[in-house]
Amino acid sequence: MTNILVVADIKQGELKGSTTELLSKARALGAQTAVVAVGSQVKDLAPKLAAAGSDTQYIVDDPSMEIFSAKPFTAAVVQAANEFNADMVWFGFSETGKAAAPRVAVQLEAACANEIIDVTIDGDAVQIIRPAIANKVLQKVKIHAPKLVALVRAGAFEPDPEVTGKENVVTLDPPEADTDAKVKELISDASGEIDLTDADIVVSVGRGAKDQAGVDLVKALADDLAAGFGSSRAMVDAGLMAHNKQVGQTGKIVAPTLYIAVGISGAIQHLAGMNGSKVILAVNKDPEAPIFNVADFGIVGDLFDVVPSLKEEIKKIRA
Amino acid sequence: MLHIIVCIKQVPMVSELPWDPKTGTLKRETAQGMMDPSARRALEAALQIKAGVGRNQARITAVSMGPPMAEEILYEAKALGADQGVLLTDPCMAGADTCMTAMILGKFITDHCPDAGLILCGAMSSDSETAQVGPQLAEVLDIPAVGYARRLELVHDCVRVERHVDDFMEVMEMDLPGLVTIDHAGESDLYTPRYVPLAGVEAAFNAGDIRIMDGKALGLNKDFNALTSSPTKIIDVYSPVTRKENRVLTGAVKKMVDTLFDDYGKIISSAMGKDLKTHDHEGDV
Repeated sequence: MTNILVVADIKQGELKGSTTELLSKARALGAQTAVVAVGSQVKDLAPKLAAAGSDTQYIVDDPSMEIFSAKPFTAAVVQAANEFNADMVWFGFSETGKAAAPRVAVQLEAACANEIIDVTIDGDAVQIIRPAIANKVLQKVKIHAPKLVALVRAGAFEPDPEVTGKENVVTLDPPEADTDAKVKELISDASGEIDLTDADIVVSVGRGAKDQAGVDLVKALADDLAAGFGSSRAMVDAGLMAHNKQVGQTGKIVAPTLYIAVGISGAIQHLAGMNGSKVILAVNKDPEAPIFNVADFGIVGDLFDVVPSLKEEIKKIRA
Repeated sequence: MLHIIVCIKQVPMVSELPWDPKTGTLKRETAQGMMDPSARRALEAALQIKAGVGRNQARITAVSMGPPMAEEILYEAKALGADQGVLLTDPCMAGADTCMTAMILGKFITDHCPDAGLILCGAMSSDSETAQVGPQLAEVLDIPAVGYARRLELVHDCVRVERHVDDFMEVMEMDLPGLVTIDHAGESDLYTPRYVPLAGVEAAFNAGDIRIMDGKALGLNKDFNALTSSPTKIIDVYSPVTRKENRVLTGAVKKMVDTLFDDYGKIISSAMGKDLKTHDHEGDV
């Protein structure tokens, strides 16, 4: 029996969907499941963590853990992994996961795999699949170690709506605070907008929108759809969109149910951030735009004509 | 004197993918190589720090683990302003995964650069995209680390680092010795790499003073084998299958949008959490 510890993805006190996705997959593999929640005021999340599919909840709750710091976060996860005798530790895809996962792997003397999209367990043989080189290839990787620490790519695993676990809370002592690397300032650029990596629909805007008026038009479409609003890198570089809206290899990796690319040509760096989306719609003036190669459905046209027409139809659905 | 170690990697310029199907590793010897863009940014950060503290106050060692041809990027690093270039190369290091790479780099730094103050890495290489070596190296060296930095500044005995983390911009201070990985960013930011002066590369080549270290020089155990010691091994590489319909319409906007909602209306409305009423084509003739 494999023991899989999932690291709860908690942002501003809220449990994120990836936790259920990872626990669903772990249960589907027939594993024993546990979750570790690290942060401040996270103990109240225990029932939710159980409902998300875990049979044991390790809680590391301390005011000192409010702001993420790689060293104590790593120590907390390692402590839970040792308590649970975990064969695998899975992180959902987040900045904090990216920072902590490799460190946890070294501490546990485990193999480490980033951005996995699948994992198979056949007796003692463990294999994972991960994309590389801007999603151009998939690598199948065999794990030659008793333990594996993995960071799971957003949207890789489906949540099971039937999934459930049982509440069995184990409180762990908080690790020592990191005295070597201290956070001095935290400047929020959270705008209260829909989280891109969590949204069911993402609408992204590219160079085709030209200027602020174009951006506003596409933003209005995103609002009509209650969608997350993303961007190509060109728009970030042009100062028309905020850095944290960038979808792509060097920005956010998203895999929503529906991705709508508006005025985005589809540079490989952008495609790497969204081509895991379930359904992709694209609007672009240029019929040769590479975005159409990854789209389910493409409309060749000027976004300034197409978007108002899309908005009309969506208004009918909303009505 | 601050000793800055910059870990750089040679990556293939990928238009073709020269994978060896037998070993499941990249045939690096046949690929045209270049310095990894993210490592290049780390080197740029080091050069700027050195310029800030003064020529005699900092020293930059660029180190790479890789096949003999990776020497090229060390010449390039020297041409850009690194004081020393070191190549860790040995058949016994071939096939190292991120854990083994971090172990080997760690051994070099611990045993051969005991005065290392600041260690810089690119956040993520453009080929394997694991983003693991930096954090793993910090654990191997048992020093603090900050990942995905956008800006660095030396403040007394520590380094001040700005980075984006999820929806925050974080400003941290970290004691030295410490490790920082430099993020990718927009095209025109602080660590946009400078151009390599061609004459500088020539001069570096002519000086020919890249230090080459094999397993023995590094002090690796004589039966060390990175391939068999690596906890992960790539066993297959293949192209992802896309099951996309790739329907691309041209023509009248209204007609295209109608077709879209006929065929994808259900998906769109369910993603919105709404029931789709039968889609009517008003104004259709």
